[in-house]
Amino acid sequence: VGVQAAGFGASAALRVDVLRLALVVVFPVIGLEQALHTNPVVLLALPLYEALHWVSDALLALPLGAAAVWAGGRLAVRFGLGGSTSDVLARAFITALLFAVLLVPGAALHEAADRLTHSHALLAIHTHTPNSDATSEPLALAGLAVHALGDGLEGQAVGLPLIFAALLWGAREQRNRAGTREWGATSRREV
Amino acid sequence: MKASTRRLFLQLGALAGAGAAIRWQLDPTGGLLFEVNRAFASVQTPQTPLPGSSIPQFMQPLTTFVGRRVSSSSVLVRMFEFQQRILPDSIYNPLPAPFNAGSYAWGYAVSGNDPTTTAAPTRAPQTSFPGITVEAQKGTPTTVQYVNDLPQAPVLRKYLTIDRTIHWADPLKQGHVFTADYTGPIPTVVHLHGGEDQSTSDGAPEAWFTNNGLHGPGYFSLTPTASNAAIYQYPNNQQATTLWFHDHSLGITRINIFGGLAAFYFIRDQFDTGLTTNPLRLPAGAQEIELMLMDRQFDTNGQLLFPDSAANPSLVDGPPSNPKIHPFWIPEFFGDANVVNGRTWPFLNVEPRRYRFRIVNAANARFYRMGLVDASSGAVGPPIWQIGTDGGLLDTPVKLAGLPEPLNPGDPHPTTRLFLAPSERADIIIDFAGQAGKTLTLTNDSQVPFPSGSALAANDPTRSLMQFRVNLPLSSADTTFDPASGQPLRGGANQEPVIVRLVNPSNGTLAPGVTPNVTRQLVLFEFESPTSAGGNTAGTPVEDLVNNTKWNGLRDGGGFPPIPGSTQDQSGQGLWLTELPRVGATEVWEFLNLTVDAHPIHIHLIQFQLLNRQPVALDPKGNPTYTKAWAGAFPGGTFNGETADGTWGPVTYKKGEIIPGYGPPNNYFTPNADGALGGNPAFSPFLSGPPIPPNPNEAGWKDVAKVFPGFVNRYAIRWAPQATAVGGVQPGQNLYSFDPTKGPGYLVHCHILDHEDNEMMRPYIPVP
Repeated sequence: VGVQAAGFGASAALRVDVLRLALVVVFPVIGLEQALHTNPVVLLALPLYEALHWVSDALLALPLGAAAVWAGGRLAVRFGLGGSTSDVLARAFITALLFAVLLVPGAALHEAADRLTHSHALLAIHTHTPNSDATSEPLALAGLAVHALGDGLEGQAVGLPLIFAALLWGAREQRNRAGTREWGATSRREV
Repeated sequence: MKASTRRLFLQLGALAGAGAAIRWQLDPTGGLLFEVNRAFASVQTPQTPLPGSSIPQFMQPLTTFVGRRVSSSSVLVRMFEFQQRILPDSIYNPLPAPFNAGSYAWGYAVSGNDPTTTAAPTRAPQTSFPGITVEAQKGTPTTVQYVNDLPQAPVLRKYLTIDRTIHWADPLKQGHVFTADYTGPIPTVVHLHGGEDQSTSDGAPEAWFTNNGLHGPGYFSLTPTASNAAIYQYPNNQQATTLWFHDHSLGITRINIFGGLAAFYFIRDQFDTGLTTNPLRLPAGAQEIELMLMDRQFDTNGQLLFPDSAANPSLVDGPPSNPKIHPFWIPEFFGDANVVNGRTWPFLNVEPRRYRFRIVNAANARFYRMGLVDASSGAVGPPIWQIGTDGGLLDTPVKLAGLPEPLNPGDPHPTTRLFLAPSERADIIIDFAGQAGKTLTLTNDSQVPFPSGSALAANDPTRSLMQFRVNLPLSSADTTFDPASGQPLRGGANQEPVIVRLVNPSNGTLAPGVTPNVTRQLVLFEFESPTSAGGNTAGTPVEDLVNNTKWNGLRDGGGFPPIPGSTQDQSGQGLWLTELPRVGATEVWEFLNLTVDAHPIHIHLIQFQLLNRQPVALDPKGNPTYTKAWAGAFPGGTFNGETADGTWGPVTYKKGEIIPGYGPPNNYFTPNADGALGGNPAFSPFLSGPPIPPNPNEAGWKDVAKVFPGFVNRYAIRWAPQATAVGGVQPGQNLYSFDPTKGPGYLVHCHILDHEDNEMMRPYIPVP
C-alpha cells in the first residue's frame, strides 16, 4: 500500500515485505517473552523442548506480527511517514506498539494452545483465575489485559530495535534501488 | 484479493500451521516426539515418567488382609523402608537390580506387641503398603507403640523431595532452605483418623519423632519408650466403624503418606463383630475386604515419582509453580496410575454373592466418583449399597446406582455414584448375585482437581480402579444382610441404636432440641501468585488457608503478631489458637469456600453431622460476590507476601485488599451481624438459594466432608461421645473417658495432603 515513488527520497513511502519483517520481529520477541517467563532451570534442562516450544509459539504468533507490520505500514502512509530516519523511527514505534497490543489477545490464544496440547500441565491443573480481591470484575479483566499488554511491551525491548533496524535497512535498499530502477509492481506483499 | 495478498495469507497460514504441528508434537498425550519432553530429570534422581496408560491393567490380584488383621489390644507398628511390587511383574522383571525387586516404599509393619519391650529393629515380615489392618474392640483400649525404623538415609528421600520452605517439622532446625539436599532423618508421627482420643495420642503434627530420637515440641508418649518411638492409647469408645491411621508430620504428611505410611483401623462391637456369625448378618470373613484407593505416578524404573522438579514442564502435574517461594511443592498431586491396596489396577475374584467393602480414599488430592460397569458390554453394573460413613453405620442402606454423571457436576446435589474426597470412607455392600461369569470394573469419573478441572478424557487410565471377576463358584447359600430388603441397620434388636440426630438430614435443619452454643463462620481462601516474576506462575496457589490464618496463627511480618485474642497452646508448640469450643458444647461451623475447588475439611477428635450446604451469590465469572466484601474489610498494611520479583518479602497492601495470612479481617471474637464468631463479614446477605440437605449417604457420622466452592457448608459439631442423647450434655461437661482439654490439641484441616502441608490446617482444643 505504499505510495509509488518514481524516485525514493526521504519523504517517499517506505515499502517493506510484510512476511520478512514479521519473521524478523516475531521470533526474537517471542523468544524474549519465553526467556522472561520460563524458569531458567527448565530452559537449561530441556533445551530442545524449549527451542521447539519457542519455534511453535513464534510461528503461531506470526499472523499477529504480520498484521502489526501491515497496519503499521498503513498508518505510516496515513501519517505521511517516509524514509527519513525520524519517520522510520516513528513507524517502528507504531508497529511495535501494534504488535504489543495484538499480543494481548494472543496471550489468551497462547494459553488455549498450551491447555489443548498439555504443554504446561500445571496451567491446565493448577492455575486458578486470580481472585478478584478488591477489584470489580471489569477492572479485574482490565487488569489482566494490562498485564498482557505489559508483557507485550516488554517484548518490544527487542522488537522495536529490530523493526527500526529492518526499516532503516529497507529504506537504504529502497533508496539504492531507486537509483538504479524505477519502482514498479512487486511480486511480494509490501506496505 | 490481489495475488500477493492471497500468497501472503497462504504463507502465514502454512507457517502458523507448522507452528501448530510442532505444538502438537510437544503434546505428551498426542505427539510423536515423546522423548523430547519425557527426557527430564527430577531434582535429585533422574527419572523418566512411566505413562499410566502404558501400565497393563487388571494383571494382579488384589491384596487383602483377610485372616491377617491384628486384633491385639497391644500393637506394635514399625515403620520401614522396603520394596514392594506395586506395578505388574511385567514392569519389574526386565529391570536391573535393585529395581526389579519392586518400588521402594515406606510402610507400617503391624503386629501384636508388648509395648514394654524395645527389641532391636528388624525388618518385620508383615511390612506392607498399606499396613496390616488393626482391629479394635469397642470399649477395650488399644495401646500402640509406633517406632520410626526408617533408615537414616532412605532411598525414597532421593525421590520424594522435602520442601524446606514450607512450615515443616524441620528436625535439624535449618529454617527456610531452598535446596533439595536434605540429609536429615525423616520425622514421623501417626494419627488415627477419626479416632476419639486424647490429643496426647492424636498424632499432632508437632509431635513427630525421628529414627535417631529427635522430637517435635508436641511429642508425647503414654509411657517412656525408645527415643525413636511413641506409645499412644486409643479408648475405642466410639461406634464401630472404618478408621485409618496415617502419618501426620508437619509439612511432610503428603510425602510420608505418598511413600506408604497408611493402614486401616477397624472398631468392632458386639453387633459388627467381623465374624460370619455377626448379628447384623453383614458379609464377613472372606467377604469383608478393605479397599485403600490412591493414585500414584511411576518412573521407567518402576519407582514412585513425585513431581518436584522445575524441569518437568508437562505431564500430569507439571513443575512446582512458584519456585521463588516453594521450589518443590506442588498445589495438588495427581498420579496417572490408580493403586488399590498397594497394587495398580488389581482384580478380585468373587463369588456371586454379597461382599462388604471398607473403602478409604487415601489419595493426596484426587476425588473418586465411582460406579460399576460391565467390562464386556459397558452396561451399568449392579448398584453400590452404602451402609456406613466415616463414623459408623447409617440407619438404613443407601442405594447408589452408579449411573453416568453429567459433565462437571460441581455442586453438592445428590450423585448416584459413590463419591469420596480424600480421607472419606465408605462402608458398602455389592451384591454380585446374578453376575456370575461377568467382569465388573470399578470406574471413576471425577475431574481433577474437583470441580474446576476438566472432565477425564475417555482414555484416561484413572477412569478405572479395579475389576471384580465373578468367577468363583458359590460356596454356600448367601444369607447375609440384603441391603435391597429395605431393612434398617440400626435401631432393631441386636443392632446399634439409631443415630443420635444433631441435624434433620431430610431438610437440612438442626434437629429438635439442638441449639448451637456458638456459630463460627470461617472462610477457605487460596493465596494465588499475583505475578509470574522469577519463574513463578501467576494464578497458581502459593498456599491455602483456613480462615486466612496460617498454621501457627501468626501474621507473617509486621512483627509477627498472633491473631488478636487468640490463645497460645499449652505444649510449647508456638501455636496460637482461635477455635476454642467448650467441651460438651454444640457448635455450628460454617465454611464459605472462596476457592475454585472443593476441600475435604476434617476435624479431629469428633464425629460431626453435615447440616447443609447453601449457595452464595456469584459474579459473572463465577466467583462469590462475598470475596469483594471480604476484601473490603481488610485494613491494609505491610506484611510478608509475594513481592514484585516473585520472592517472599514485605508487601504493602492497600486498605480493602486481601492480606493473605492476616487472619480474618475483623476481630475473631466479636460476633458479626449473623452472630457468628470468626472475624468475617456475615455470610447471610450473600446467600442465594435454599440450603441443600446432606446427600442420603452423607446423613451419618462424618469426620471429613466435601466443602464445595461457592457454598456455605455447615457442620453440626458436638464435643461429646456419639451416643450422647440430644440435651444429654452441657457446655463444660466432659463425657469423654479422657480429658480433651489437655495436650497439644487437635486439628481442623483440609485433607488434600498438599494443602494441609502448606498452611491449610489450624490447631484447636476444647476448653473446660
